[in-house]
Amino acid sequence: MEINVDSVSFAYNSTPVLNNISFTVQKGEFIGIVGPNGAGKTTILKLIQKLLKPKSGKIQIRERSLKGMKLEDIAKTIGYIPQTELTQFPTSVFNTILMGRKPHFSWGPTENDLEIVSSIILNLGLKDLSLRNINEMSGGQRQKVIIGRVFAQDPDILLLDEPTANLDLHHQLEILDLLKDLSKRGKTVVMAIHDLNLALKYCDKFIMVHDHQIYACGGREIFTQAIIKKVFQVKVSIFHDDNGGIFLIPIQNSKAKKNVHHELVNAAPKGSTNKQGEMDAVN
Amino acid sequence: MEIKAADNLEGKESNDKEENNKDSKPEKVIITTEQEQAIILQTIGKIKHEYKRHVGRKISFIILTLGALFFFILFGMTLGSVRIPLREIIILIFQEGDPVYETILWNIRLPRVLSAALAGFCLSVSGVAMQSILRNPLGSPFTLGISNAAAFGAAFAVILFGAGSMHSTYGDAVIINNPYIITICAFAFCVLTTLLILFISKFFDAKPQTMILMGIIIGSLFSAGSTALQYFADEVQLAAIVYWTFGDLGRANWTQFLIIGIVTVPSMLYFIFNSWNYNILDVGDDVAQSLGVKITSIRIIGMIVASLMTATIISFFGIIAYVGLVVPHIVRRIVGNDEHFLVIGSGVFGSVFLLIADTVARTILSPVILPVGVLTSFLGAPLFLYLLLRKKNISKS
Repeated sequence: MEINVDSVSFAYNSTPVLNNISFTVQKGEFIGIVGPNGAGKTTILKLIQKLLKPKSGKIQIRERSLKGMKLEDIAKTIGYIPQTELTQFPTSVFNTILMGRKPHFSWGPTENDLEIVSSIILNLGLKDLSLRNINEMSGGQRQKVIIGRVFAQDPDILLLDEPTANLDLHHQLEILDLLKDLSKRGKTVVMAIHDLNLALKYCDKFIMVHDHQIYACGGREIFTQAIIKKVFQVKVSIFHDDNGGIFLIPIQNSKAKKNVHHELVNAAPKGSTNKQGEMDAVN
Repeated sequence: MEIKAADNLEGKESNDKEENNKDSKPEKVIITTEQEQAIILQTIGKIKHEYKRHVGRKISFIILTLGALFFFILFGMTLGSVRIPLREIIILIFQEGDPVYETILWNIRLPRVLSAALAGFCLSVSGVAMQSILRNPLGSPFTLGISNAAAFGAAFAVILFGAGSMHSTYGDAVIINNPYIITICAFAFCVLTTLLILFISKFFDAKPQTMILMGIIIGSLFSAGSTALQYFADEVQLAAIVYWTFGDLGRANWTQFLIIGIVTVPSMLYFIFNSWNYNILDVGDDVAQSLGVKITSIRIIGMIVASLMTATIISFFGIIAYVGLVVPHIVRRIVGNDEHFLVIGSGVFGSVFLLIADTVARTILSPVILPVGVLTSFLGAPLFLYLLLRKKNISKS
């Protein structure tokens, strides 16, 4: 068992975020944490990385209590990529990836560290950009560099918070392919992700968080119309393709939102009724 | 080809997932010939080599600046109210020479020039450290109100302990009695301010931005205190207080140089050895912690060390503004933001900067000697404005 989260609760001051959640992750699994905004996806990742301490319950990494693990040991075992990374003083691609080697060297990088970073840069297809400042790069390239830093860290467990947010389709697939590749090589990947279709395409198992609790947990079978309606308040159609893939297409947003729409339209000045007609047609 | 290289770097292959690997093989297997393998290794070598050349350029900048520092130390010794020819200086260093020159050089000029170099080093390094500790380009010990605290401490010493009575001698324009009481008070208030900021930030779990705001608040509180003290001062005390706030390296002597050296050298080594930790701090707290950096203790120790360095300098020489703010930004443009080169680079560049400023201050209105703090403010403010506006332009385009 790589990760064992046992009846963990967490609250920011008095606002409860997670309420008595438990799950386990096996070695080499590619886990997608899904759920609406504010459900506590990020908090789960931060708890496993020991960036936050649970109010109650315990977390074990490979049968070892996370509480007793030293920061250096965690750094060698678990890698973490936050949702947004704002660098105050950005440096070159090479130097950024080299930071990932920090848990493995003491005062400064060795020849071996430079070799590892160089081969990662080659693998990511960034060889002509290795000395470019990461601030001068596109969002997709920068995300690749950040993934490269975790590769250099070489942990057995990777925690990623929305690694594909704000990326174009090409880069989304590129990043997820890289992660899938890692999980095939025995690394455990736990990722919070909003795009359910991408999650369905890449993840082996899913943890659906809703209302401070784990609402559903398991394989693709948890993506039913009823569950999605309950968790996301969205009606979806579910399609199966020949290769066993599952696709979700949203049909209609929740009632509540529709009411707002009508209220807005009703409140609009009379001259704009034409537009309403057009919108209905589009709908 | 890519897969093969990836395997090389990941090394460990788990047995559990062997089956999964087999599933994926049809699309993944690419036959790698020896030739291709050689090309990969060559490219890896090239990337590494390019990085090393890149690093080499940074190191050569530091070496070049060191050379300039050596030159300006010699140059600074020749210039002043009395011009000492370079030949005389070289003679004096190795053997006895003209006794007048000898007195001027050993008692006045050399401690001053070396103190300028050391002070410039300290102020710049603590500026760099504060910028990454506070994750703010405006970070410097001055932003945290330390100079205001020092000025208050000096005013406090002058008025309450009567440390400031002055008289003129033929040797120097103004002499302040009991200057060490002023130094000790200024130092004490610097340290007190740092501890206060640390205490508040620890107690309320403040973010770096909050620390800066706290510094501004504490700074304005101390300057209000100084104003209040000045109101009750007579004109002699007032003059002493104002005179103290001018950053002036003319107060340097060998004892002070030694004390500053004792404080500086270990602090400098601390920052150089921990440069990777401070580099990673720039990326953000969560990531830094996930990479094994103990962010809280690194921040607190860094704050204490940087403040101690600055406090030592200001309490001896008065307020030398802008060096800690401008020099790191100039050096950032040249060597980039890699902390491991930035710390040394800024230190050496700061030495040169303050040395030139002090030499100019000593000679521009010779025989009148301007306080260097005035000059650094005049140089620093427009320079900082220029850097700020240029940075804006870059981000626009």
